[in-house]
Amino acid sequence: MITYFLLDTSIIIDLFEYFEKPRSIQSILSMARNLKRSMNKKGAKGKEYLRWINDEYRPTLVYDFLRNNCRANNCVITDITSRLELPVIAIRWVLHGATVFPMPLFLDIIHNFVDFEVIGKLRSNGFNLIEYSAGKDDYEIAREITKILEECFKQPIRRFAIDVAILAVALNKNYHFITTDVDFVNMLERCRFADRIVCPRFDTDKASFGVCDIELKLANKTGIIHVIDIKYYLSKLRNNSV
Amino acid sequence: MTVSVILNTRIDELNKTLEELYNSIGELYDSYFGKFTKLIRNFTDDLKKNSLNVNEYYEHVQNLVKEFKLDIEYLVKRHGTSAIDDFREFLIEQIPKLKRGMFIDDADAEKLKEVLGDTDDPLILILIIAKLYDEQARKLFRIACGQENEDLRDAVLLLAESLRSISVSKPVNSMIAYLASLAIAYGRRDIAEKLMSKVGEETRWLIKFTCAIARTVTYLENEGIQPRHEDIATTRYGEI
Repeated sequence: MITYFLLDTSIIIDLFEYFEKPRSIQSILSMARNLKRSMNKKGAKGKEYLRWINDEYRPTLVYDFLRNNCRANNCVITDITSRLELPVIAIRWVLHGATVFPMPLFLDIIHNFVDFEVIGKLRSNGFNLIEYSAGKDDYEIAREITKILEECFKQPIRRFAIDVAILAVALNKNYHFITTDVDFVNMLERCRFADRIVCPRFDTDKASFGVCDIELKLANKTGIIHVIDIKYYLSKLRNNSV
Repeated sequence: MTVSVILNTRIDELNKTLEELYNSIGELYDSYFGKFTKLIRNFTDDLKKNSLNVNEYYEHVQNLVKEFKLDIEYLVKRHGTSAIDDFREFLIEQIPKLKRGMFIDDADAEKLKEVLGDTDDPLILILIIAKLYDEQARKLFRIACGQENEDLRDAVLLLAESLRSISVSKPVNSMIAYLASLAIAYGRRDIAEKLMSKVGEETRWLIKFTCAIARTVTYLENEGIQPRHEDIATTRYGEI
């Protein structure tokens, strides 16, 4: 039986980060100096070290994971990622640093935006990703997740709209959900979605390095329980900004 | 393209030939694994004689990596916590080889020596070296995927894979990828695929997957787009 992996948008960004232009040795050494400085601070040692290692190796781990697990044409991306979130992010990329916004630049942006189809580029270059169009049944589950979150936060939830929609697809289709979005996973844990978090490598009580398995359960109105596994690559070191 | 032409092909981005690239990386590996040069000599001889046994070479590699010198577990087991001074000296001795391999220039070499000399945490020392290899691997992946000649592309890509494996502390995979790269340079793609399958890798998939992403990233950069993880957080959760 083929295992399908649903890739969160964060995973695509990590993949791109892995292949960005290499850094200079000066920046590696400067990171090492900063790390050393941080580790000399009282009580910060393990925490800073793990934060550094997680930030540095997250794209490498994602590259490794996908390379090993997407061989059977079994990695899935939702249209929420390809047609909604990535284009919005693309506009941010194109606009990055632009303070003045003259018409020629605007026309350039529109031109680039029309041409810009990240997932299509990946596929035409040879990485077969299955594109899944989220439908009514997926959004039903998204609504249930939203209700649980609103109960958890005691207020309307807007911040997790995209993540919840993608997660709902994973739950509905029984796909493994792959994410590196630390805020989202923190939220799942805080609202007791995540029943079991196991980080097999480099495990400490507050931090982890490597692949964590998260068993996630959701009961819907009819009492059916959806259970999926999440593969999660980040530590829980950053402050929860929820 | 014949074997000798591939080995003598100049890789413009590196300003060296494939053969020179093999030599400079091989020189580094010789320090880490011991007897690596001898293994390579035997391997290329057997390739030329058409008498190569993949299983035997896999066993050789497993024996050679038993004392892999960049592995923190090996260090602690072997020398205890007092290993740090010896280890630092060992790394400093590698700097001229890193320079010859064009991983770093003269100014960087001096800075690296200074930082290594000033660091007493073995984990940080290993991280610095691992990051150097990781960065070089990324650079080689991109260079490989830009090559028009398939054999040259795949030989360079497997060398990049070899460096990447070192950086994530997988010495067996690293040496196997180096040997597989040589096999492709010598026109024996079949041997390369058998070797890589010994460490659970499908060569064709590895190349296809890696180049799909590398080429997409090159396209994005040409469009002036630099993906950043922070952009997701900002898009999803607002300005942080």
